[in-house]
Amino acid sequence: MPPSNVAHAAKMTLPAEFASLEPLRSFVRNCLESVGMDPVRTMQSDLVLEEVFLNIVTHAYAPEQAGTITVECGKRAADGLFWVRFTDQGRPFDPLSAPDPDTTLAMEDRLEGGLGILLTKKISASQQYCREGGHNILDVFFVG
Amino acid sequence: MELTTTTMDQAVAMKATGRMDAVTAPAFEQECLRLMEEGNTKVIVDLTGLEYISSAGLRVILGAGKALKKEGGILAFCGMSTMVREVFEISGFSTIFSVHDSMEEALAAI
Repeated sequence: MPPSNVAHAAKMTLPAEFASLEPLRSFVRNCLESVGMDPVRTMQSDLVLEEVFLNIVTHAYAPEQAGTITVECGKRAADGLFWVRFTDQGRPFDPLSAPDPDTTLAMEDRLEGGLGILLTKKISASQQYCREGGHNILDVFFVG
Repeated sequence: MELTTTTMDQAVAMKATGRMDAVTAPAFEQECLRLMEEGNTKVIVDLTGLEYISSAGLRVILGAGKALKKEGGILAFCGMSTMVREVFEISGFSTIFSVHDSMEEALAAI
């Protein structure tokens, strides 16, 4: 179930594969704009969508395992925050619990990767993960 | 994303326009590799027209920055949009890369 008081929630499920990125991106952008998000702000939800999507496509399922990703979005009436939920049936994984990469290291010591979840956390208003009935569920909220 | 390069006396200027995401980032990587194969070691990327960047873009930028530094060169940036600047700041890229307001400033600094 979506968080309480989410108006006009919409949902799309696609295969957890790279080709699903653009359709999901368009879906989320159109949905959030239709419930009043400033088009300039959709850049933030775009970024989070890409980062979480790639994380699921890359890590949630075993290479030979076909899986899906479900994205729901809408606006929460109580506080006016915009909401995007990511659901997959992959191995249990809380992306929010992973340690943040050290962004103070010198260039040669920096690793290529690990920045997607940091960007997700910093660019959204709040995030919440839970494991429920064999599903990873990640809720991300945005100021609109 | 569109990439156009102009060779100048001190460096190569690369103008990136559009979106640098998981789909388009490999093109930036390939262009940097091509420039290095031609012997260029100083590259300034003009991001004035880049409206969006994700961690996939940061990944190829870091790779190119390391490779150029190894050759004694530099990868510098100028003209960031608000979104791109925010992503650079969160990721710490504003401190590990040479970032300038304009191409003129970048050329003077490298």
